[in-house]
Amino acid sequence: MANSNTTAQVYADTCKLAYTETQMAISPRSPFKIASRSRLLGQSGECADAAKEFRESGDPAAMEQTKVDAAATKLRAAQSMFDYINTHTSNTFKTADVFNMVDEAVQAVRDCRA
Amino acid sequence: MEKSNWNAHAVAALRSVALVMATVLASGCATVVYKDGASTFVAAGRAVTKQLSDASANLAIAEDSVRLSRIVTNASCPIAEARLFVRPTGSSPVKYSKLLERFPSRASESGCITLVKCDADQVADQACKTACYSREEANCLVNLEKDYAIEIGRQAGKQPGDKELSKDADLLAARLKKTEYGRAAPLESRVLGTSLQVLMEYLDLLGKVAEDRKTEIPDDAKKLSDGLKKATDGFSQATGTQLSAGFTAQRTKVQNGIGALGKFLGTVDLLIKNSKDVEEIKKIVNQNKDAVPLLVEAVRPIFGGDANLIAALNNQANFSFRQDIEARFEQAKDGYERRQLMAELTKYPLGSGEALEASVNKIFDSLLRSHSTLVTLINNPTDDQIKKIRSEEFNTFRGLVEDAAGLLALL
Repeated sequence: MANSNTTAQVYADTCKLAYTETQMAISPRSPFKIASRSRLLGQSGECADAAKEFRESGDPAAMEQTKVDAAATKLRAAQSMFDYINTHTSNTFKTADVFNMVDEAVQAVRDCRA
Repeated sequence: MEKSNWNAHAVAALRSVALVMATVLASGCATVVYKDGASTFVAAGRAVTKQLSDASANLAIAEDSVRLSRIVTNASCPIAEARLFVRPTGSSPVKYSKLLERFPSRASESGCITLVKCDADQVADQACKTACYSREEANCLVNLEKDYAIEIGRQAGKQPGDKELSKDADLLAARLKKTEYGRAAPLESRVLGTSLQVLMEYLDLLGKVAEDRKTEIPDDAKKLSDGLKKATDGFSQATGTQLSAGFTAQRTKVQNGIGALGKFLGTVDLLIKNSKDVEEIKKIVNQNKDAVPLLVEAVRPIFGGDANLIAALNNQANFSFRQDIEARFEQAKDGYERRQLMAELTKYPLGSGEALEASVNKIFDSLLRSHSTLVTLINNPTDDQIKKIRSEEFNTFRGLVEDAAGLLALL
């Protein structure tokens, strides 16, 4: 059984990531370009879906704490990449690195309910 | 039981708050109406409480905006139909072929055959690339849902129950919920709204305890107690209808909360019978001072998450609408038409989730500080310095809720 406060935080962090990626699609910063918009919007939609599913049927009693913690770690990693991009004038990220990290985070959130 | 659900801490905290409330209720006597409504937490927070709980309930509306933005991209969407389904963009782990297995005659219908074909991974067929499910596919979905409802009705009460049937019905309901335009909103925001309302009413009650306004306390406490009972009934009623079509995970989760609230109301009745002493109120306020932080920490991430999710969904949809307007702008024949399109753009603003999340956090911080000061004041009722701090904190709270209400209106 997972702690209900940490699961609530995973929900909040997933929503935050969906929002941040949406904003990145609206105003892309390097390594993202205008051409990255479609993929950013698609992936942020996936992330929002995962958040919504988690909120609606995420039952802490049926989750393993290790999976919830793993999701929290992945979410933080993905969020921190966007935060870095948004707060620095340059970076060495490749778009694929960020997309992969978000994919992993979304999958980890979905795995919590598996 | 309450540990097994998402709202476990909220329910536990509500229970502790109600324990204090019940003691307060039991110790009061006469009735005097509290006239200065503008200086209460409930009055100051009314607008934002409603807006925040509405905002959470409106997540489904924001989700629908995203679906609408996809529907309008494709002229072939059968919008005249009673139910409209948006084709998912990614692959789903639950396949319609599996869900149709128990209804072979349904599976042989042409709409269902197309549905299954398009549901496979990496389909090249152009008929499967449309934004919406075709009329025939949608009809298959509607009838499949009916088939499951009929089958569940036929199996009701039979022992042993068909667990696979219930599981498949839930999987279907989950898929439909993700794709259907205009499907019902979830319930859980009611628990959130009630939690916030209880917090504010409880702080007002503590204010009266601090000021020794004993004559006003019983009415307020009873009102709070009645409100909680009504809310509990409301959860039960809604659960019986809105979720009856399936989704047992969600139904169980909400019912766990209802059960916990019901148990806690039983405890309230017991306390009302046994407690009379005003000093007892102070003791119990002190003993339960962790209840408020517990409730705040349980609901804060959910409100904050909702704020970001609504902003993300609205922005995704609005950005798509803005792109549609831009396409029209490129084709516009003159400046007049372009000006009209520019005016149209203002209907689709790109809102800020961060500002709202920060604002919601400040409100909860302010509630926590106010609670802590009120508890101190109850223990030191003559301390003028604490009274001043209390007054300043209340004014801060009032300013914060006005800010949040303004931001919510923009979403």
